Amino acid sequence: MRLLLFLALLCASAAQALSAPRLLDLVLGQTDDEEEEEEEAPLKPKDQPPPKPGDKVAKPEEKPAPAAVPAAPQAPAGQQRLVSGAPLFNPNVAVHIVEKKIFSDNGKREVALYPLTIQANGKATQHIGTAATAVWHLHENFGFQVSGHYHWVTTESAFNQELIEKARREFQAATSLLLVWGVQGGVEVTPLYGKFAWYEDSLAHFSVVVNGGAGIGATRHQLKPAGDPTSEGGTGAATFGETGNKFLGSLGAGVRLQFGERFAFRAEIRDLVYTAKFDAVNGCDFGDLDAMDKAIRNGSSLDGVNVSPSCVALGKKVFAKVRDDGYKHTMDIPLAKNLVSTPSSDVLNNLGFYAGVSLLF
Amino acid sequence: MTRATLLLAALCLAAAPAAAAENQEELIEKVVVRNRLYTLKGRLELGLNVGFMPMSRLTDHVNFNGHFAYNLSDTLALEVRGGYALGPASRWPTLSHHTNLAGQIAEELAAEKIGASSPGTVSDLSDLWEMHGNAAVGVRWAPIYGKISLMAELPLHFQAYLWLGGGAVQLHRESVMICNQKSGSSCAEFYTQDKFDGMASVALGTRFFLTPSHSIAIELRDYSYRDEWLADVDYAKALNRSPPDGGGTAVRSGLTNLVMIDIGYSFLF
Repeated sequence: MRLLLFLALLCASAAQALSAPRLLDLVLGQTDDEEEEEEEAPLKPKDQPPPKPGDKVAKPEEKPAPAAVPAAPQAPAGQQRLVSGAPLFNPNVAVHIVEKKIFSDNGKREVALYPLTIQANGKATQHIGTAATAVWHLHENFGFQVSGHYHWVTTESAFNQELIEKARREFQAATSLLLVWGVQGGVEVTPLYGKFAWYEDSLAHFSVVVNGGAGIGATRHQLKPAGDPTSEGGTGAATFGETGNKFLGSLGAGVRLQFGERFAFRAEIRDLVYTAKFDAVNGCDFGDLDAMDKAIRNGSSLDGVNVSPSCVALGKKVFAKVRDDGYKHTMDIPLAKNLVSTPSSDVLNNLGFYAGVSLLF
Repeated sequence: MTRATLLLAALCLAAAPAAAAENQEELIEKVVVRNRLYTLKGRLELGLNVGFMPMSRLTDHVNFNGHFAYNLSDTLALEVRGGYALGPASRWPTLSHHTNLAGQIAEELAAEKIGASSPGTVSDLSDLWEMHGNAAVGVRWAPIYGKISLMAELPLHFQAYLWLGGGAVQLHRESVMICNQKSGSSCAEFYTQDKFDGMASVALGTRFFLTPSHSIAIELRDYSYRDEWLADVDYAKALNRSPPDGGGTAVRSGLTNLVMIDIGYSFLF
């Protein structure tokens, strides 16, 4: 029994002894430059690449540390010291700057949820929504991603409304097209990896992410702005007309902050680019809308109006509806007709801030 | 007894290096960042900044600033900054900050109103005050210090910071709706106003250290000041300058926010 206790004590002191020199090295005996070298040692001996001609090598004169830093007691004379698995003070080995990543992404899947996305460049429109992304990290720095978003607030901007009210001017229809939802596939790369300290104690690891993709998105246009509840428009809620699915591309960049092995916080800026050709509302072109407008003005119903098949499939049904508050969507017909009277096209950039959390598994 | 002793000894031998390695990793992790390569406490800095608006509506600015700061600690600094904002580069050295959109609205509306027999009343647009001179005092709080690798080999040390402060601005406003002098069917001179007012500024940014004495920073900065515009302006009276503001009433409609991307250089003494 005494022997067991003795061995246990010996064991504890051995562990202490092995760690103590590092503590002395790092806290007491080093300059900032030495600290840099020690941190920047990512490779384990088995991973160490052979030196190549032209490789950046550590010059002995740049590393006076052996004199200043006490040698680790376990390193025999003449043998290079290993710090965090990397051989320092060896002039033939390029010591890489950033240490090995604590959390590897290689082969992992990541699901990110962005509860709130806000459009940042809302000159003519304003979008607020939710987005989600799934990433399959094929490589440490490269992955495939699928993402989708839904904008639960899509409206023309207050600036556009002010122009309408005060100057009777507004952006052309294609410029103020609203993006309701979108899905896209693409890639994500993480070209930069780093770490930072919050004050003195907490250490966090982060990577810079850059992503891009292409897909499809559904668009619509505001017909009647939200107005006075007592007006003819019922409760005053805004009305919209569908303008079809459009090609959607995206380019984004941001920061992924790692919390443990499984969770991360993401903050990104994404630019959703979509093409906007505006020549029909709810499947009805100018001719269809003009015919329906004339019928309404004559007091006729929409049933007898001859319109194109796409307008029959959607437009006639939508415009014939009456909202719960009594608003008749036939009142949207002249508004839609006015919008398509001058066909327009544009390429829109919807630049948004995305903040969310992700789960890695 | 012998077996138990041997087993414990083996476990001990196996565990000791592992525990030491773990402690070592942890120590390296914490110490290397805590011991900042670039310390700021007690240092003065002097620098230049240029800011531009990533999105402009009716006005556009390119803001040139100088700044002087004293670092109270590694994370906290007091800063004084001041400068002058010009209009779009295409219009230098004129001080007109109106965008093409504002110019188009002004031109179209003038043509419509000047030609009308009874032009009626107009209300001016909001957010038309342009910032010219500006000066502010603020606190820069940089709780985050970190490093990234650039091109795999080059370490780049950085600080992320929040800047809060306030000061004064010299403001100029040129209406797009109220014309004081016509030239044919277009407006030759729009109603203008000038004033000094208070300003609040907030910025989020990152500063990268190039050497112990040189750093560059990029930040997103917002300048906020009170907005005010004229409503119910009699267009005909304004055109005859009787009075120039057309008897309009001033409306305060909140704050104008100039959001700029600001890039700066600092020399640390």
